[in-house]
Order: sequence, then C-alpha cells, then structure tokens
Amino acid sequence: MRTCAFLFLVAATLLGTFLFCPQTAFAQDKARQVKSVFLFKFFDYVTWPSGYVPGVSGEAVLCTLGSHDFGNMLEYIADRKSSDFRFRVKSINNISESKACNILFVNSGKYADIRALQENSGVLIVGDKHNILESGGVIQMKEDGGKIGLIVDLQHARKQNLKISSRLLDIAEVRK
Amino acid sequence: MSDKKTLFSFFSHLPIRYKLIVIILGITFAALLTAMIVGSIGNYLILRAEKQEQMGIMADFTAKNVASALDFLDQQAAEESLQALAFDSSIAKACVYDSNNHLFASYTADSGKEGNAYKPCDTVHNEKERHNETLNVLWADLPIKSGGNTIGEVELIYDLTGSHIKFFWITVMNLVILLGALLIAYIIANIVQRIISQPVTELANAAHKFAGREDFSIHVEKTTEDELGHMVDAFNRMVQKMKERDQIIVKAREDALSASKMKSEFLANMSHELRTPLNSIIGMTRMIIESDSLDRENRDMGKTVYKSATNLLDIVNDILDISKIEAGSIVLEKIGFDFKDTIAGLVEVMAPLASAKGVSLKYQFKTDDIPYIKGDPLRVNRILTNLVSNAVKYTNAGEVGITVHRNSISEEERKVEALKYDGEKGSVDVVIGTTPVASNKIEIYCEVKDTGIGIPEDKLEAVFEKFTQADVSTTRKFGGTGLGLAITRELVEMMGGKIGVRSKVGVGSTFWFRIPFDVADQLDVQEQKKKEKKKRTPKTVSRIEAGKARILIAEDHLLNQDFIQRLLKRMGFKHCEIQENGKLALEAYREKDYDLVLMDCHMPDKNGYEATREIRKHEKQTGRHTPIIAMTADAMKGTQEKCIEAGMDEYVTKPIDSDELKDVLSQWITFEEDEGEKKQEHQIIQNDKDHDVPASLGILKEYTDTPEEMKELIDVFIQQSDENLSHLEKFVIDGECQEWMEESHKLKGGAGMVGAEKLRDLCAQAQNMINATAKDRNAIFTAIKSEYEQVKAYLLQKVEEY
Repeated sequence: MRTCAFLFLVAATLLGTFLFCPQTAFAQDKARQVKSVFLFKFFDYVTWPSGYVPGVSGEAVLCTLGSHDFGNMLEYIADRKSSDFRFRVKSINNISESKACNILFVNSGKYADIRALQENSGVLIVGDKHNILESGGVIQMKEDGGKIGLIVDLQHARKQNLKISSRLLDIAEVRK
Repeated sequence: MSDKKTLFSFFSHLPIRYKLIVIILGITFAALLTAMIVGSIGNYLILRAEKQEQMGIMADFTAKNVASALDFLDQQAAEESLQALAFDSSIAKACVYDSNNHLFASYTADSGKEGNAYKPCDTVHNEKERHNETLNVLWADLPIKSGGNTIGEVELIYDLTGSHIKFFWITVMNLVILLGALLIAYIIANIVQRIISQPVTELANAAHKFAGREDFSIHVEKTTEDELGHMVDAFNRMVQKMKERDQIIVKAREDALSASKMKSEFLANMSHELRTPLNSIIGMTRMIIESDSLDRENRDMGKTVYKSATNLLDIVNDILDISKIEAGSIVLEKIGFDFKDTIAGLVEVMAPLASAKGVSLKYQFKTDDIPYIKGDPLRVNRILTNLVSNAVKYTNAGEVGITVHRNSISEEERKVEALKYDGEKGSVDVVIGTTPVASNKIEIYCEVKDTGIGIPEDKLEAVFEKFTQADVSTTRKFGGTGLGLAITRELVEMMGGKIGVRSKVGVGSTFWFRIPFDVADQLDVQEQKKKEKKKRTPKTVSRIEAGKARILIAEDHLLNQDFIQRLLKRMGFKHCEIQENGKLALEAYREKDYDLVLMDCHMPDKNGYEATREIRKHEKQTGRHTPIIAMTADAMKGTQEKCIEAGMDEYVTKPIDSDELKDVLSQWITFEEDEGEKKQEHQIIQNDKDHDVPASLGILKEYTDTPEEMKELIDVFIQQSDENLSHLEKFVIDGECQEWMEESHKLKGGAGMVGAEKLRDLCAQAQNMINATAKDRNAIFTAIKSEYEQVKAYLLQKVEEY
C-alpha cells in the first residue's frame, strides 16, 4: 500500500515537474512512469529457474541495455519497492553482461544484440517497440491510446526457461 | 383465571374420546411446532453462516482474479473477471478499489426484473459505510494482494432476499407438512382412542343403564385384556353378584312378607279365638249378675268373675296390640274426625268407672275452636283411654277432670302447674290445648292430671317401657300388664307426637302428649255415621214389634248363641231361631220368612259374608230385602267395609253392648215402652227402686263400698251436673246446636248413675232436640232444671241419712 501511495506521490511529483511541458510530453512521461512500474511488477508474475531470483547476491536485478528514458525512476522504485529481497538496477552495454540480470529492458536500438543471448539464460527480455518479440524478447509493453498493454511471447519465455503466471497471461495478449 | 377455569371445566366435561384426541393432537402439535421452530431457526442461522462463508470464498477468489488486472491497471480485464460473479444472482454487486480507495472496477447484478435496486459502487471507498449490514444484505471485504503487497480491496455485497424468499417457502411447506402430520395424528388418535374410550364408554353406558333400570341382563363385551378389560370383567361380575343378591333379597323379602302376612293372619285369628270365648264369658256373666235369681253372695262371686274376665280381655287386647305394633302391622288411618267427640265419648265411657271409684273425672276445653282433624280416631281414643284409665286406676279418691286449652302451655307454666295441683285430692285432670303449627296443621296438647299415688322420679322414664310399672308392688295392688303406657307411647310416636310425664310421689302425676294433626275440611263418612248413630232413624215405615219379629241368628259359638238369645229375649223378642253355620242359616232362610238376620261373620261351612251374598242374590228374584246385621269380634281394619260390601245393613261389634244392639235394631224393630226395658237393663240396681222418689242410689251402691265413697260420688254428681246445667243454659238458642246435645247427653249420663229416671227421660228428650227453637229449648231446660233441683235435694237428704 505504501508503495502504491508512494507511486502516486511520484506520479504527482513528476506531474509537477512537467507542468510547463506540452500535452504530448506529459502523456509520454506518464507512459514512462507506468512502464517503469510494470518492469518491477514482472518480478511478481514471472517464475525464474531456481537460484535466479533472488540470485547469489540475494538481489533481484533489473538491467537496462542501451540508452533509456526512465531517468533515475527505476532506481527510485527499486529502493522503495518492498519485497523479501532487495532490488538493484543495473545498466549494461553489452548483452554478454546480462548473465547477472533477471529482467532486461532492451532499448530498441539494441534488439539485434538479443540474438546473441543463449537459450536458458533465465533473463526476461522486455521491450517497448513492436519488433522486440521478433528479435527474441518475451514481453512487449505496447502503448495503445494512453494505455499500456502487454504482449507475451510464450515460446521465447520457454526458451529462457521462464514461467509466466497465468494471471499475467489473463490480462496480456499472448503469442505462442 | 376464570378463563383458565372455564377451559378446565370445559375440558373436564368432554367425553373421554375427545379428551384423548385433544391430548394426542396437543402433544403432536406441540412437538412438531417446537421441532419446526427450532429447526427453522437453526436452518436459517446455518444458511446465513454458509452464505457468509461462501461469500468469503468468493471474495477471495475475486480478489485473486482481479489482482493482476489491478497490478497492470487493466480495468477491462478486471471487469471481465468480475462478470464471472454473474453465476450467482444473489451477488448484488462487487467493487474493486485500488490502493488509493478509488473505484477501479465494479460489477452490479443484472436486476432488470426488480428494477435497479442496487446502488452503484462508490467511486471512493468509504470505510465507515463498509459494514452497514442489514438482514437482507451480507458484506464481504477482502484486500487484494499481489507479490506480498496489498494493492487494493474487493467488496462483495450479497443480497439475501432470494434466500429469504426460498426460506419463507420452505417454512410454509413445513407448516403444510405440520398440518398434514396433525391430520394424520388426528386420524390415528381417532382410531387409537377407540381402543381406550370405547370400552370405557360402553362400560359407562352400561353402568348408567344399570343404575337407572337395575337391569340385571346387562352384560358388557370385553374387548381388551388390559386394566379396562379387568374393569369390564369386574363390572360383569358385580352385576352378576348383584343379580344373585337381588334374587336372594327378593326371595327373603317374599319370605318375610309371607311370614309377616302369616303372623298378621295368626294374630287376627288369635284375636278372634281369644276374644270369642272371653266375650261369651263376659256377656253370660253379666246376664247372670243381672238375673233376679241370685242371692247377694252369688252375685258378688259373679261380679268377680265378670271383673276378672274383663281384665283378662284388656290384657289380651294389650298383648295383641303390642305384638301388632312390634310387627309393624298397625297402619294408622287418616280420616277426618272430631276430637271433641272423642273426648266426650271417652268421658262418657270412663265416667262410670271413675265415679265407681269415687274419683271425679273432669274435662275442660280451654278453647272452643278445635277444628276437625285428620287422623286415626280409634288410636287417639286408645291413647286417651289408656291415660285416663291409668289416672283413674292409681287415684283412690277425689276428682278426675279434663281441660282443653286454646294454646299449649309453655314449659315454664307447666312446671309451676305440676307442683301446684289446685285440684282436690284424688282428681284426674285432662287438659287439652292446641297450637296452630301451620295454616292447615294443628298441634293438640293434652294433659291428664291426677292426684293419685304419683311416680318416683327415677321411675319416670321406665313407666313407658314395656312390662314396666313404677313398682313391683303396684302390679299386685293395681293389676295390669304394664303394657298400656308402652302401647300409648308407641301410638303417640307413630302419629309423630311426643309423650311425657311429670309426677310427685303422693301428690299426683301429669301425663301429657302433643300430636300434630292436619286440619280436616270435613268428617269421614264413618265418623259422620258414628256421630249420627245417636240419632238413628227408622229405616222402614212399618217397623215390626219386637214381640212379633222373627229373628234368625247365625252363630257357631254355643256360649255366644246363648248370650244373644238371652239378650234378645230380654229386649222382648219371642221368635228367635239359631243356626250354627252359614250353610244352615241359608237353608233356614230359604224355607221360612224372617224379619231380621243377625249374622256372625266367622263361621264354619260358609261364613257370614258368603251367606249374606247368597241371601242378597236370592232376594233379587223375590224383590224382598231382609235386614242383615253383622256381628263381628274381628277388630282388624276393613272388617266393617267388608260387611257393607257383602250386603249387610249394619254391624255390631262383640262383646255386644245391649244398648248398641238395641239402637241398631230400632231401625227396623219397635220395642215396648222404654220403662220396661230399662227396668230389665238396670235390674240389679233397681231392686230398691221407689217409683215416687226422683232418684235411686242403686247403681251407686253397686259401685261403692262405704257411705263415704257414696257421698263423694254424689258430690261429684252434683258438682258435674251443676256445671252441665249452667253450660246447657248457655245453649238455649235457635237452630242446630251440637253443644246443646252434648251437654244434655252428659246430664243424662249423670242422671242415669243416680237412678233419676225422670230427669234422664227429660235429658234424653232434650238431647234429641239437636235442631230446635230457643223457645222449645227453654221449655225443656226449665223442666230439667226443676227436676234436677228435686233430685239434688233428695240426694243430699239421702246422704245425710247415711
């Protein structure tokens, strides 16, 4: 609950920050916030192979590959989100570094790199552009009329040895 | 309270079968109703609890279902998953709030039918209103969790209306089932009650019938082997036993009745058998004494025989009476009679006895107004006779008086009077009083007061016991059976009265009795006859002279034959024929003509009744009517009626009193001058009769032993006659006057005693003037008074000479 309240507060703060921005810029900011929150939610709906979450370090790790426009929002959430384990946000530049990541948000510029990732590496690859799934990603966060929808590719999830909760599948568009 | 009582009384009046049905139905109803109520309440509570639990589960389910949608802000998905709740139409609405209590998704039941009764979910969740549960609404709140965090809240509102309606119909159905069960219970109760109530009802009906009619044929069928069966058995046994007992009782009663009847008949026979020879002895002795041919010594002996025989007759009568009373065979008559006549008659009978002892007998009515009363005149007379004769018996010298009071004297006054005894030494007073008890009832109070020897106080009670006299020596001195007072008491008590005595030794005794009587409107026919007997009128225009009349006497007893023959001869009859039974009498009657028949009732070979009937039958052909006079010693009730019924004209009772017989005969027979007859009747005492003197002391001499006694008797005569004369003077009035007749009759009695023949004749003449003018009465009264003065002067002179 506190997290929720906090999120709202964050949202309000951000709202205040972009008060003078044009309307589209404001909407883009809101979408970014939601996406960053969603990224952490995936920890609740995805089951990693044992030993991955939390990892050896006792942390759940969210990595970003390539540049992103979340700013320091992810770190903010990671600090505040309560769970049995701690969250860490890690920025990587090479897919090869993704071994320590549980969730990897991939910038659209880096989609080609994904192919280098081996099967069964246990990394949930998330993106927000339409070709992320074609590139081997598992979840696409799709912006649709101010609403963020989810598209899940179960084949890719299986390749990575990830189990997606049926409840997530209930609200997502599923590709097999 | 009264309702309760009415209800209880109503219930207690119900027949057993209804009671049983009411009890069975009552218990069934109570049990079923209790079960139903308890069951329903339990069911309802369970229902609510189940629904609550069910809602919890559903809320949990919903919370889990919408968690991801809420997580990923997918309102559409959330509402889709809420739609799943539509499977239960009772779920009114479901609201999903996010962590900020803002409505995220909602579901409202499609309640198109009833109109949209449910408010949509609040857009902002209000904590306060959350638990606003009512009877019809159940709430369930559950947090929505995701990854260990509470991300919102789901709220379910469950509408129980449907369940309530369902529950209502189930209850209605239960009630219907209950009524059905009651109906079945009623049918069963109706069958079962018969098992118990039918034998009871039958038994009760039988008992009722039995009690009403004592029908011993009643038998109740036994249908069960339980207590009721035993009761039926016992009832049947009881009826059987009662039947047997009843038979025994009926037989015993019949035996007793027949024994009693036999005893009664035996008594009547004994009475007849004992009295007949005694009567003969008395009658014959009397004639012997009255005959001329006896010297003084023989006459004295004859008198002793006469006296002894009379005493014996009294004793026999007493014994027969007491045995009759004990046997309960005395039935009191209830006929109208005149008490004054009874007293007057009694005095007339007792006066000679009293005066013979030198005891004066007075009677006094303290009231002029004694109405005719209903009772048994013979028994009343017996009571009075016993008391007065006792008084006379135990009083050696003096005066006997009877006084009649208007009102009975109070106890106090009587006590005073008992000690006063203002009467002379040797007197018997009979005081009679009446107290009206009710308009048609009167209590006659009568005292017989004597100045006799008296009774010791400790013997006062005993004198009324049987075979008891105050002193053993009394019996030797005065004779008697000691039964007289016992009989008297029995009779008084039978009449519903009381009897008692007060006495002081040497001063005198007062016997009193009080008897309640009904007032009679008129005299009984028999009593009327008795009253009229004194003035019997000739039955036929042509009466036959005694000397010429042919008389047939039917009498079986030799002594009686002789006695009657002599009596008739003395009366002047010359043609008398005797037959010794009814059969012979009938034959004689058919052969010859008779002017009159004297018929004994009890005879062998056709009794008097049968013979009379045959004579009357025979006369129907000839058209004649021969007077038949019954002679009967049978004192049993109904004898007189039997005589009249058989066709007899008159009857005389034995021992035959010559006066009575002559009186009866005079209806058909004329006798020679009374003088001649009287001469014969009082032959003994007229030996020294001097025709020139107004009176003769013959009778007085016979009854007295000393000149002193004679003197006393004369005093009594004068005293009484003075009184009578002064009374007579009062009744010198116009019209019918009973008192005039009675007073002249009393005077006549006194005149007879002193042999004052002329006075007697005058009195007899006056006595017949029962209906006369004052002028005629005055004439005869003057004559009587003048004659009485002469007699009085003569007697007083005679007394001086002695």
